Amino acid sequence: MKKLFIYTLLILAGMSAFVSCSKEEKVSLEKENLDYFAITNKPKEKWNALDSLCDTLYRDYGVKIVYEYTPQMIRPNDFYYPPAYDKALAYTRKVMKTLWLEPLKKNFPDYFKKETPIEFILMGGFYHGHPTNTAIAAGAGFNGQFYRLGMGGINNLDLSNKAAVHDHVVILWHEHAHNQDVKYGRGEIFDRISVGTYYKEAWNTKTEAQAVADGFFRKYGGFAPEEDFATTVEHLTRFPKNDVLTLINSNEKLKRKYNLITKFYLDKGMDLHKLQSVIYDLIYKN
Amino acid sequence: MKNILKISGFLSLLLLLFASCEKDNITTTVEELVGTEKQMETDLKQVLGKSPNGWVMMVKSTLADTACIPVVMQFDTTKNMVKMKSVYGTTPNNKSTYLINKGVSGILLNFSGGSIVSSLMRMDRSYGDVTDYVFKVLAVSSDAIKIQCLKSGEAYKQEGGQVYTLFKRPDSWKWADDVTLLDMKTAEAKVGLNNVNGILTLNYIPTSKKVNLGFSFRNSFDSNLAAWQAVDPFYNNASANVFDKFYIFFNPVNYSNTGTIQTVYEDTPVARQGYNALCYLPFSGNASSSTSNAKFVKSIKTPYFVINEVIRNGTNVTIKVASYDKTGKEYITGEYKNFN
Repeated sequence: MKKLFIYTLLILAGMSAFVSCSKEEKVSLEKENLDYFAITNKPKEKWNALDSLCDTLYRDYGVKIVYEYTPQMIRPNDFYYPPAYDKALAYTRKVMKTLWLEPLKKNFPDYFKKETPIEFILMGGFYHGHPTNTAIAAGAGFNGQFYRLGMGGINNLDLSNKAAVHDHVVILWHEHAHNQDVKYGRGEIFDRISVGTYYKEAWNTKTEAQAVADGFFRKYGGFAPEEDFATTVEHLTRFPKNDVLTLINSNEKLKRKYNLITKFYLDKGMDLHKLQSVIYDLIYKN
Repeated sequence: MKNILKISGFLSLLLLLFASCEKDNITTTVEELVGTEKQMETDLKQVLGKSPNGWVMMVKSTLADTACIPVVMQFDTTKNMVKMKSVYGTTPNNKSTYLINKGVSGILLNFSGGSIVSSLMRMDRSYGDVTDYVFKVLAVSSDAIKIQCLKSGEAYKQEGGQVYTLFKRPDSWKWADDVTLLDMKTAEAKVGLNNVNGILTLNYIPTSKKVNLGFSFRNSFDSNLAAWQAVDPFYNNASANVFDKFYIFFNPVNYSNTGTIQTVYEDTPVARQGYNALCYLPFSGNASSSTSNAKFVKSIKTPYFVINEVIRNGTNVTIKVASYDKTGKEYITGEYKNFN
């Protein structure tokens, strides 16, 4: 009986505590009040020419092109700077539409459907590790998140310089190769080819000829397996098929890497040799 | 007895519970804040467009105490675009986007596209004290907008950088109009100036002090301009590359001028062509710019001159220059003449 009395009291006390505290419910915040990332979807009447172009590209290709943002939108301790408007507009028209998305969808529809990132970030410069120092940034673009790709240096890319544009597009495919690597994994067999022979930080002390002799398509590929993978894709995207075949026949390691990567891409619907000639023709034969 | 103790114990516990909950009557100001923010956002949107000649942000260089560097911003509030002009360089097609956001710290003015503001963030502090291109909006009125760099710059330092009070561009600032008054890149501008001896008279408004300088123009970099442009700190750093590739020339100077035109010069600071302006901020890669400019800027107490008028009368050329303080008032006015 005593215990029952005590328990009843306890329950009552507990209930009253909850009931009495639940009365405070008048605080109301409007739902749209906080936007931690400071990204807004602009209403249509505010759209400029680039917004309209980005919208068309989004509808046609499903890629959201991001050209304006805050310094730390991507990652809190990395700093990226938006491109100048005119340059971003010209770049989006020429590189994003004409040299990347249009030929990709037309020539490689399956690959386009499955392997195209959903966000593309345009950067005026490159990656900065410090918010305000004067050091010039590094890194051609960024990747590593398979839904998002980005390219840097748009403020300094001269769209009338065919060689520079060709190099830029090839590097875009290099960055995309990192996406593919992150998404599927290049595999242990690839890593075993050059295991133990990577140059690491010393890559820049090597010559390109030495790198080829050591089984890397570029000396930067000798830096680490992930760059080995991306530079192989880059090489196949940059040089004509015959030149690539001649080169790989000179070195067993190059040949094995070539075989693995062509298959990796072909399985997904991408013929890198065809991609090479499509890009080359678009830039040099138009 | 024990029971009474227990019961009274529980009763006091109950009392405590009620009493403690009573304290919960916190009068929250959240709704009020939201209201203030909404008002500020509306005000900002309206006010930005209400200065057809634009708003001015005065940026402070570590090289000058009183003179501040103007950045003129013209907002197109229908399309959220902003055009900027400044003394650092020329930008004929310059425009960029801006956004008004609500962030955790209130209303934010975000110069979201690449612009002079994001560019200055990557320069050293002699080019200005801008440390972010996102600004917290502190106050808005019809003739002033008070904003603060969201971050102070260095990683792990406190939030909140420089505070700027934007004001409407004064009508007397002819340099900021759309008309080009002097662009030394062009052959026409060089006539009567290049390799011609002249004199620059400066009046320091707060002290009424007058200074005469022997002054000339020399297009010595023309033959090798492309190579020099590679050391342009703005062009050199793609993140900051929002200006045209720079055009530079020497402004030979004689500090001991006695009031008439002379033919000797003591030093050769390097000027870069700004938007109707001459900019003397030093840049690495040119020894003369590093040492002579530092000396010149210190001596004349400003890193720039804007050009408000160019009068050509036959071969006689008069150029009216000025430099402004933090509030946009004339700190220095001056006149260059190539005749006595």
